[in-house]
Amino acid sequence: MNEIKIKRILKSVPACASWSLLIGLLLLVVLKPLWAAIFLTLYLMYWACRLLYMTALLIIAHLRMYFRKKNQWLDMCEKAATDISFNEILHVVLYPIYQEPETVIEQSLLSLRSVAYPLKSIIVVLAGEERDADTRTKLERIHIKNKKYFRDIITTFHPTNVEGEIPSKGANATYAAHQIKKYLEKNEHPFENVILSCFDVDTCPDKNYFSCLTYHFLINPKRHQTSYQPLPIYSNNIYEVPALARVIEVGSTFWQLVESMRYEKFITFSSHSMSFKTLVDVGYWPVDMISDDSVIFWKCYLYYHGDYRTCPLETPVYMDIAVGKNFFDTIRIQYTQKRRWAWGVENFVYIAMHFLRHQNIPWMVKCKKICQLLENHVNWATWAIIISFITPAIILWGKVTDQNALVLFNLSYINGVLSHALLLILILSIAISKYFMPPRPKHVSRLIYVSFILQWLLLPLISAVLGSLPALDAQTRMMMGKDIAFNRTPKVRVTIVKENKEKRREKK
Amino acid sequence: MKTIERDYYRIAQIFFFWLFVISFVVFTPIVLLFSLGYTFDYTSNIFVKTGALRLKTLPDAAHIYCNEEKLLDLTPHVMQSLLPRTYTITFEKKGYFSYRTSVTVRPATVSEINVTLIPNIKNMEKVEFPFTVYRFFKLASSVEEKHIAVTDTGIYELKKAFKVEKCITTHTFSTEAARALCDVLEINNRVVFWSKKNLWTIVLPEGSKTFDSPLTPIYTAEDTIRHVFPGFNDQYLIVQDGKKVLAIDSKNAAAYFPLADIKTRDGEIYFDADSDILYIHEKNIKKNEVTIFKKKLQNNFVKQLQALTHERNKNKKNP
Repeated sequence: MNEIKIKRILKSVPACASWSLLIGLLLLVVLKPLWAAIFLTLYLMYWACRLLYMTALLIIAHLRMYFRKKNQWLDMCEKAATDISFNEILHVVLYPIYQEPETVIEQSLLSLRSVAYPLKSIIVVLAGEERDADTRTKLERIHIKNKKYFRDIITTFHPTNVEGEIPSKGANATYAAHQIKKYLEKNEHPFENVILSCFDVDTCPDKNYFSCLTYHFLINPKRHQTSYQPLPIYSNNIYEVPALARVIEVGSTFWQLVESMRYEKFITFSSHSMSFKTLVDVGYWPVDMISDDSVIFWKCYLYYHGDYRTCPLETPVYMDIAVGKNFFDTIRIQYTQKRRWAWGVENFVYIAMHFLRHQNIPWMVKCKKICQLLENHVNWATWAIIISFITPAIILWGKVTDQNALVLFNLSYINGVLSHALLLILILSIAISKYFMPPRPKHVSRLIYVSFILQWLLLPLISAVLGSLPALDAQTRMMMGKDIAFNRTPKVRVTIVKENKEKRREKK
Repeated sequence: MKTIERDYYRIAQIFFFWLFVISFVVFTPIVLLFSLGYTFDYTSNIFVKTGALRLKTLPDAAHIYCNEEKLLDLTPHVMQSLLPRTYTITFEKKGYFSYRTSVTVRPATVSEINVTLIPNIKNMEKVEFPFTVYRFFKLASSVEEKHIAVTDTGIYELKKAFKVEKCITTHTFSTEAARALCDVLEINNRVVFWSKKNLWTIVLPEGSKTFDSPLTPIYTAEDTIRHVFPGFNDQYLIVQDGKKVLAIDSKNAAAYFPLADIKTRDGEIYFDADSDILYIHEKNIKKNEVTIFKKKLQNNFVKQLQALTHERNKNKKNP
């Protein structure tokens, strides 16, 4: 069988598994409802245990962040007795930019300027796109304004229509990384001592981010075989977005927090950092894939024959919640963003294809990784639909048709127990989410806190509509061979929109 | 040198992972067996299949006794893990009669008892009337619930809760005559009273006004009146007088017609007013047999009417 055919089959596997599970369960409900009830009992048990496990991880991860936040990271860096000195470390912060407003970039650089780390060890790379008409003037303005604060600011412009590339963040970042390589070679700075942070343009790092990152890099004997993943907290515009968007993004933060505790499975996501040497060695980010942030991890994993991991950082980075012009536009943008995240299912095909060729990773490890990845994506696409729709449907069917089978009655009972467990987890989540809230701006009423609590009532609906559906959509598209375009999430803050409107009014 | 893998958070993660795996492996079979109705019987040391019992009462919050043993919960309640056998369930609630029933629980099945409890009211309240009531009748043909009271001062129409609606007439029966009345029926805006010997009518007043219609005797029985039915477009009364069956016009006492004769004295009639069919129930005591006859009166009646109309038209053309 040739490679194209294998790839075609592998592309169908996640969607086939997800659809088979959903359709099979629906058929079972219609044809053998009692069997469906038995299956759902097992499924609910699995999720009850899993949710409790994840909640335990959430609490531990939260405690880890809470206690380590007090660490004097910079002092720790200076005192760290390792083979490299703290002063030798150079940070390169790369911002791939495409159509983002100048204010958003400015705010990100402002937060970068206020980090508790020597700014003369930080080089900023503003990676624009040539297809973005006003990007050159915009980046030059920012360059002039901020040059004095950092060691240097490099601006790059990714050319359009390069053969073999798709318009994506990965292609832009890779082009910029090539320019950085040239710069470092010119300045004779060893790649081994360079840490590259690839940030989404709205990323505002915590003041201790770079010192924490440097410390982990310094003390890690396998520092080049490690990616460094901060916790993305979507809170920059949390007081300005609809409740719906808040719930989704707080959920995403929680998910990353839980994932950061699952050391073996933890992979890079969104804004992350890594050794520049490793980046050069593995051949940079993929230029023809959407999910560049996770594929880079798998590239490194394959390059180091499975001896590669992601280190969770205890300091967060703060990002924007994706928001549209109005409520429905927000739903559309959130759906598109989640579908793009779920497009990470292409990793399954990528690593499966490479695992077939790769000889240095044991088969058991390969199978485990592949199964974990498949299970993650199939669960993502199905669990909320099964728990929010199919289980209540079969319980309702039992009541409407007056079924007196004990298994149906007990399913309703177990579902009730699970709902109560979920409620407890929800209360806990509300308590933890409070920790991630930035201070309330003066113009926002205190009543917003009521909305912050009530917003969680939307969770069952949101998890099904904006949790499972985008994932199912992404998998189905991949099966059908309909690739998605890299839809940039608009980094437009409500305050900016309001300011622009006011400016327009003034002009009139 | 402390590496990231060696910290105690990782140990906690591993601990919870295995706790999750062990919990799933241990509890899932237990939950599944429980779902399917299996429970461990410590007396026989084997798994037995059980059932459940859903108990509901109206009103709820009744105490439950299962085989004379009081349960802590009140209704509605579901008793689970019951061995398949018959249980005696008693519901008790203050102010209501106790309800006792037996139910057989089947394996892997949810049986249900759903009962309405009857109030146990000891105090009785007397309903006061401004007159002496001889007899109460419920109007059989009335659409809404309506009672007729025969009193010393007249005949009254009563509505729900025995409230006096209006006085139909100030004419009334004597005590003896009232005592002899068998029943009352409403026909063609009239109330018909009947005893074993007589039939009377009163015209019902319209609205709430008192019309003061006299009690008009319309028939005196030759033998004994046994049944009276409304019939033929609610204009006639179908009367069984001993062995005779008659149709008497409720508006015109002079117009009455013999419909059928019953062979035996014990025979009884039933008249279906919707289809105008007369059923005669004859008993042959010697043979200990019962025979039912059916007579379709509508066809004959309509034919007679058609014949009469045809004859009148003929007379008009050739006077």
